[in-house]
Amino acid sequence: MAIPDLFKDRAKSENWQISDAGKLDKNITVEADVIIIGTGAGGGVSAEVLSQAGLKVVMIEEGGLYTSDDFNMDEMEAYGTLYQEGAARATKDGAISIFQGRAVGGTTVVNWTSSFRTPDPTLNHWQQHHGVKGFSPAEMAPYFEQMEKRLSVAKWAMPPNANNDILKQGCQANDWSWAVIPRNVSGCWDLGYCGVGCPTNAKQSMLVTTVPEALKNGAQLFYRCSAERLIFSEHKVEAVECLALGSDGKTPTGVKINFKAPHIVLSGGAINNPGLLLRSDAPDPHNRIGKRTMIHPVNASLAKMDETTNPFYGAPQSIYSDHFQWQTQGDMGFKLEVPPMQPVMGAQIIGLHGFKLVDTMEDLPQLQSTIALMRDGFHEDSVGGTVELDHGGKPVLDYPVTDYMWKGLRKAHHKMAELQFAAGAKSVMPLHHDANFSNNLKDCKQEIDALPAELHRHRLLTAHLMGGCSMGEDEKESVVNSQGRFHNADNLHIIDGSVFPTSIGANPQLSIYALALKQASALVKTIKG
Amino acid sequence: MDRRQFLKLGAASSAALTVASVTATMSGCSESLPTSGQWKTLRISDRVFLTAVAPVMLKGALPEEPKARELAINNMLSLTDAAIFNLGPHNAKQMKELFDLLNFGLSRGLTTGVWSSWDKASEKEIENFLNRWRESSLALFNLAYNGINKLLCATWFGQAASWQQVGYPGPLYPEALITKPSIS
Repeated sequence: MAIPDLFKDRAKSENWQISDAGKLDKNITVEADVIIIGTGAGGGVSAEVLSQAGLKVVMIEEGGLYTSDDFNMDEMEAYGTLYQEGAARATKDGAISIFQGRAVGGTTVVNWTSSFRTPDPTLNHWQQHHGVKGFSPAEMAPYFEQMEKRLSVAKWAMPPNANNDILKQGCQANDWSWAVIPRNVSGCWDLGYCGVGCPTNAKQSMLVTTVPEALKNGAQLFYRCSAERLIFSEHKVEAVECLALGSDGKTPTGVKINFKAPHIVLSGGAINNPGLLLRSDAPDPHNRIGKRTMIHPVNASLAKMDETTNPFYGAPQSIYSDHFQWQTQGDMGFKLEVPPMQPVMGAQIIGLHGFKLVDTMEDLPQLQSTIALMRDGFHEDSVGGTVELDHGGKPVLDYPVTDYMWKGLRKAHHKMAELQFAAGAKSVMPLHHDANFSNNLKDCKQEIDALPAELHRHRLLTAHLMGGCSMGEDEKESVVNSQGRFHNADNLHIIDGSVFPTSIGANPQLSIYALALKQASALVKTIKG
Repeated sequence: MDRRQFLKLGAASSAALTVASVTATMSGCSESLPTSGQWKTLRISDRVFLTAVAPVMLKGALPEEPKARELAINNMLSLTDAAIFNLGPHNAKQMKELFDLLNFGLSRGLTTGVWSSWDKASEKEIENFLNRWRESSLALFNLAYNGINKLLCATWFGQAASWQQVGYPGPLYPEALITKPSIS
């Protein structure tokens, strides 16, 4: 075997304490200094920091434990095992596809490695409009720096793949700003399969960095262990009740695990965190849990190029443009990036059938797709969605798309078409049921203007789930304070992207890492006095 | 069929959708889910539906040679069964309700325009059904189309047998990096 499975090898040689909850045959109670629910960007970093301080940490993960030997660059296998709801999670009305990870390491196992610091305007906006303290650009800088070092974040030094290069060429031709994306990789093979689990352990996900470090420090990991309920008493969480899930990763075995600790850290991410709090009837006098959930709604434009793009190979994201992000004249801002296109992902976003689908798919090696990530949560007509529970207790996100957002999405389609034609596209199609490929920019723009602003006809997706447990100093407007402490329980901290009061305006992983480092370090001080 | 006709059809179908799916469930026409064996979510009637629709959804993509086609569709069915299971209980239930609607004569006829059973439906009828749901002014039909479309696209283009046609050589360095047989 060419690539050692670092996780498995170390687990054995270092005697890590890892339990598949699904294999337990009776109910148990586990006690620790700190219980961390979730092992993604927030939980992973928190586990590392708290365990380094000598605290007895227990990590709880609903998903399975998959390591590099399990990553076969197979889309179907990965979507089924590594993503929430088999990669088919969607908003309540089914209109927006949600790509969110579900495994030890969380979404960091399947993200595309783009690592941006939280933009200054976002941090300033939180301070000015959401009563957040301690998150100024200057205060955050050391945390970004430390996490960048920890996770080998650096601007991608290799040439971008053709898919990304077209983004760059289009920007250059239109005189729009662009830049190289910093990525959290070490010894990357430039394969292009970040979204289905890195087979070479190059991606510095939580799976190969902080979770192993915590385990080395004596932390315990329970996976296939689904947090069902927090038991609240007066201003305190007494315990975390979990259900063991069987080997299929979905079906409860009937075994319950009860976790008890003086401190609980909730890091299950947007959607699942509010879901757990709502299931637990957490005190919420101002009805804030689940509100302001942000998703960076994404629309996409497909171009047929003359040259070979092979959009399924190479670092998936290496170039971006923020040209339309901040100077928006009142419109919704957006970031321009590209997605990788292996065949399943490609066919899924195209949304056609029969010969039209096959004709388009046959051009896959010459296709280029550009995406726009809309910056939601910064305008009175963009207040995000609301997480609620369905009848089975499962969290669902109700996310309305407002006229202001439709206007932004339409503008993004125009700009993506301008970009793709400027980069030499033969034809361009905005991804919408009523669109076709146009051979020139004028026709394409006419088509974009005629597209009905209708959910289910417009291909919309998201891979960035943020908010729902907003932080801030005003209890009427937020769920946790600026240190991440739940307003209504002193020993519960929420540490992950669910506390962001707005979207980030950039792929959020580094924002979560830095926040987690800051909050977990402060928590250590609180605990140790 | 023009958009206005779609709209008229849409209003009628929308009512039919609710009435017929309730009827289908209440009258015991809804086949219960498989409880054991190879299948976790797909019932016989669901497999008949998918087997009929797949070659039209993927017209020009599935192999022409009968044995190869049968193998491709059987693989799609297995992958679809697993994919629906992986959706989780909530979404799987919604898929079951959609299949109920598609399998119950009255609701199938009213909403899809296909009055014969799926295994007897002509290619043209199935194509009309797909177009009708995709183009419908009713969001519910667009949504259902999207669901079936994504499932069939994923389970075909997720198979290595589909890759040559779309110019995808497959994962890089498979001999070094693929360490166990993949499920597909």
